Amino acid sequence: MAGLRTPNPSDCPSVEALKALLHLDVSDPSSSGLRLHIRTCQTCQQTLDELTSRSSLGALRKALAEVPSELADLTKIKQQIRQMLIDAMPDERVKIDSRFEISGSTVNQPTNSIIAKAELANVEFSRTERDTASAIPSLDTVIDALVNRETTGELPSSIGRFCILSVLGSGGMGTVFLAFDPTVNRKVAIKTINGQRSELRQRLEREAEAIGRIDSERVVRLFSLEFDERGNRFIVMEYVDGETLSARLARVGKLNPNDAAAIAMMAARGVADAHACGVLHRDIKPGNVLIDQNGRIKVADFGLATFTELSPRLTRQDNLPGTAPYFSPELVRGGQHSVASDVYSLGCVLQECLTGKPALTGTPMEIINRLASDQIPALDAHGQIPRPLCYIRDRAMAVDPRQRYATATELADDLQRWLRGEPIWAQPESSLQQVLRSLRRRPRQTALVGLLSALVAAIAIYAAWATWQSRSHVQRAASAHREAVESTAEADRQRELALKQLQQTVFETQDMLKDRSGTLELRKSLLASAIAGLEQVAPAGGSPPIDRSTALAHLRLGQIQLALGDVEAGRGSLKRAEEIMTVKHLASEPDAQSCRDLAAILNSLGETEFSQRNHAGAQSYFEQALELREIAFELDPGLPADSTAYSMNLIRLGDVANATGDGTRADDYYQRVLSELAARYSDGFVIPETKRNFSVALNRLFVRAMSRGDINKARELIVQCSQITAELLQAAPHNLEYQNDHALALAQTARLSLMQDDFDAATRFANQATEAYRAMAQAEPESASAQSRWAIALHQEADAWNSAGDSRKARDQWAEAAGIHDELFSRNPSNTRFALLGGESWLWLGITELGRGEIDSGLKALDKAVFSFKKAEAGANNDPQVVQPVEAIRQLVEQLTASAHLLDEEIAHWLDSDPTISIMCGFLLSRTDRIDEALAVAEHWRDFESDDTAVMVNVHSQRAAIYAKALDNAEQHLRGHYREEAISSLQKSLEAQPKWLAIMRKSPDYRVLRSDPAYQNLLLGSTLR
Amino acid sequence: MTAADTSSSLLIRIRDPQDSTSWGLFVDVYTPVVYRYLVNRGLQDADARDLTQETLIEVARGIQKFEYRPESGRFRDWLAVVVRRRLYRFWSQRRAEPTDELELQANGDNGEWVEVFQSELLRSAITRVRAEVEEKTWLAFSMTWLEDRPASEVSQLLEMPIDLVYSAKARFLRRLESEVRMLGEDCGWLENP
Repeated sequence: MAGLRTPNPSDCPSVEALKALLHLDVSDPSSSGLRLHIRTCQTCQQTLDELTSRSSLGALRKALAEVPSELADLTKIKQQIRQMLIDAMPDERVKIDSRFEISGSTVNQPTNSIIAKAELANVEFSRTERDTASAIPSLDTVIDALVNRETTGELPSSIGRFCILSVLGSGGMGTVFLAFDPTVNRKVAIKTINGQRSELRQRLEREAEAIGRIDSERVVRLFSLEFDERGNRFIVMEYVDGETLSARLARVGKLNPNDAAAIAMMAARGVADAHACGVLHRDIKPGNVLIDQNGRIKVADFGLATFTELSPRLTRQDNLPGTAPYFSPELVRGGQHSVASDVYSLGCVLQECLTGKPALTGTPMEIINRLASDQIPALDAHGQIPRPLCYIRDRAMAVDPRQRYATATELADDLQRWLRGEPIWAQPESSLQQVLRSLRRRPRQTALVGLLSALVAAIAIYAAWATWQSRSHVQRAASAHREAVESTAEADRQRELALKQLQQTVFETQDMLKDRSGTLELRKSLLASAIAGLEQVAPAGGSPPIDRSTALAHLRLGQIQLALGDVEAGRGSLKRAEEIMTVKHLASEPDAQSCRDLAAILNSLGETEFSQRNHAGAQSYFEQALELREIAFELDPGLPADSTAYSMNLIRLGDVANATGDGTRADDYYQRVLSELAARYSDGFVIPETKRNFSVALNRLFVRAMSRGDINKARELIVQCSQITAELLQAAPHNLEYQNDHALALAQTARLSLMQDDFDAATRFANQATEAYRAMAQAEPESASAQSRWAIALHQEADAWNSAGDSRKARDQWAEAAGIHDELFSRNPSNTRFALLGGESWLWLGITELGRGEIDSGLKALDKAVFSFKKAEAGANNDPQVVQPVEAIRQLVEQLTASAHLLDEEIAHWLDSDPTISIMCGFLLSRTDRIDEALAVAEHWRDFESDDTAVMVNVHSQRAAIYAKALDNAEQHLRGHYREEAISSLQKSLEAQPKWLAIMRKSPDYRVLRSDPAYQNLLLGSTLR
Repeated sequence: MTAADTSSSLLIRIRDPQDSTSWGLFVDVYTPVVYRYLVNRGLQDADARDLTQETLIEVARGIQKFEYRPESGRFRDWLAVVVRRRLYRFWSQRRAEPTDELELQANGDNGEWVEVFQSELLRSAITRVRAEVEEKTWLAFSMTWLEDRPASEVSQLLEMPIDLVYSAKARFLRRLESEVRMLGEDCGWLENP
């Protein structure tokens, strides 16, 4: 060729340079020299020939060369296909969602070349392909299926002894026929497989074994595993005449909440039955839930089932069994299918019933990606779906299998609870759970060592509690927590985040422990360390979130100190919380949260004042809190917890009104609680806390009715109240508050029964109440209030026994009650209430002992009563509400004591002295079987009159008691006289002080009179009055 | 995945049912593949068109439903399964030809299928790349590569410096490779043709 130079290898560029040239743009000036060289160098041209022939496409060139252009113009058909696809696509999504149900299609019958029918066949084919869980239909599988399709190409007339009626469903794996068994004259379903490939055969056998094991009404039953003439296996199963859940959903869209919950519950029971027999279903979805004509549910298709006793390795081959929208997250992450995975799928079924759509939609790949990154969308109910059902669904579908219901039965039980209108177990995910979950998901973001160890420490505390390990263990964990708090402070750039997480951690741990017994001291030390940490971390001047954390920590600490009986420390903590929060509240625009926070603090302060009988203070705090709650409502309506707090606030205001003697206003507040809650929750969905306030308000109204003497109203109220408390307790048996409420309702029922002279019921209920309070007190030995409530219950039970005539039993219980309150008072000397209550028990013990003739021990008890009352008086700061009754009781005790001392002297010495002391001597004489002397005293005071009501009542009631006692052993001719005297004295007492009726009814002294018509008239007359 | 993301594999993109651009491309590319195979198997034009249509619809659904999974097998093989099944059913309905089961075995006619698949894919790719480049570049490529003429001859015919012929060929080939990959790649069939 002209112009070609003799090659000179030393001038030629390297192969790499030529390669590079091919990648350069032709206009690149840097290559111009090289280009000129190439144009004249044959060697380089050869190299370039070689370089440009090296292509992975080289081998295809020939094939292309043989058929140089398209065989035909396909433009038109391409357009047609495109149009069909576009038309089909939106539907496609729907079909994906509700696909794969066994329809009554006639797939295997010869079809015309109608595309639609062919498509249907293919959908069916694909379904089972996917169902076999083989990744992609391997050629083998498909061909196999095709070959076998030939053998079932026409509907066989019979298989074995079974007459084939129709095809229920069909796919690549096999066909399900509706058949008739002439031997037993019933319809059956027959499942065949296409060919006898070992994989399919195993699957069929596994399904047979699975359903063969399960004995349940709610699972399709196995009749037999058989062979046809050619040795092919098939399963004979129960035929369910109805439709699949997916067909139902496709037909009606979504179900109403009741039906949805009922169907999901029955499906869960079926799956639970399978679990109980050691079978995991692994492919739970609406298409495998059958609904028969009577609405009964049967779980079907155990083709992917496995057995719980198998080691994981044996079932490992099935990487991703099941159907994409119902896969559980752990499976996608490579975990094993467990009971929890089936529970998850049941949650999916519940959601699909409620919404008509699968929980996860999109292509399977998208679903898997989302599951792999833990993105299970929350059920966005838009208020359409009852909250409790959302909670149940969330719990069943928790990402972490350990957060789910432990068993399908638990899920079914919770659904059933909801269906019955009872409170459910499932609750929204707590923020600690959220934090833990986010930490698991984003391990890198936990580089914050302080935060992580704070969490670890918090968990350690919880774990230590949970396993009941030693206290030192707990303290170690708490101190680790403190260190963590300090090191968190050093993580400067993430301080805000750390604080937020820390606060959540601490408070969540608190909440976890809150309802557990025996954790008060632990919680106190945890909070104290948290406060120390928070105050250390707080930058100078403070920042709002830290203020809030600190304030709330002080609040909770205060509450715990109060529960431990340390009023001064508790009040101090609360005041500190109020101070911090008020500054914060005033510093910024009012938002609902800060209103709520401040209201909570004020409320606790109100409680503190109320417990110390500072009613004015309590009322002021409660009113402020109520006002803040109202503002919070306006700013952010609809938070259920707000209604709870608001209604409780009303109740407490009622309590204050009641304590100050304004019963009408108290009634108004209580009634307002009932009407407001009833209006707000007309749809019947009430969170347990709010429901509780119903019962509390009812309880208060009961107390009011009792004090008015309106027994019928009281009975009505306490019955309603007890029903609610029993329901709440049943749903949450370990909740201390509900335990307490129910015990109170029992105690009050006892009181009511006592008023109605039903001693049997009174002692029975009182005893139940005492046992309930005893259990609570023993579970929480540090809680002063729990101990005190137990003692009060004992005191009341003693009262019931005493009225029922068993003064020995009463004496023992009063002694126990008094001992408990003495102990409490010695531990908490600032709490005068304990002294007062203890004194009351001693007083009654003393009176009873004297009444039994046990003068010495009676006097001893009265001594102790006086001692206690004096203490109470000293600590009461001249509060007339305390001082007056204490004074009166103390006088009574002193009179009793003085009287007892006089007994050994001659009657004549004291008969004309103080009438009260004198008549009490008479009373005591009657108790020590010196009845003649007692009667002499009673005769002496026959026409006693006094302007002092108390003295009047005292003298005449004791006088009546002496006659009543005398009546017991009196000779016939004296009985009329004694009775007359007793009744007339009682009448005088009642005339002087109508309230005395209650005591009169309770007192055992007049028992002998109870059958007397005159006595009954007296009671009736007073009651009416 | 969006329609704009055109560098990623077509077979991945079409999993998004909303990506109509990709679906259109898919139909353009795979219609000739299936059609030619069916014609090669002896079908009349009208039947081949019907079956092609059915096949593509089924494939579209199948991809949506995840029956095809690249990590477990090639798209090419799966498409073959679908086409052969259609073909088989066609024949058995017509009862026109004796069914030779062997023909349905995995590799019975696989050589032919692979050839048709690859060459049709390549043809589509070439058509698409050709539309992107200047006529001269296309000519330089088609003469040197498709017609296998020496570069020096092409240089003279096109009155184009020989280095530019090489550059044009190399550039076109590179684009073509990436286009073929985009159209047909699932798990690297290009590496194992």
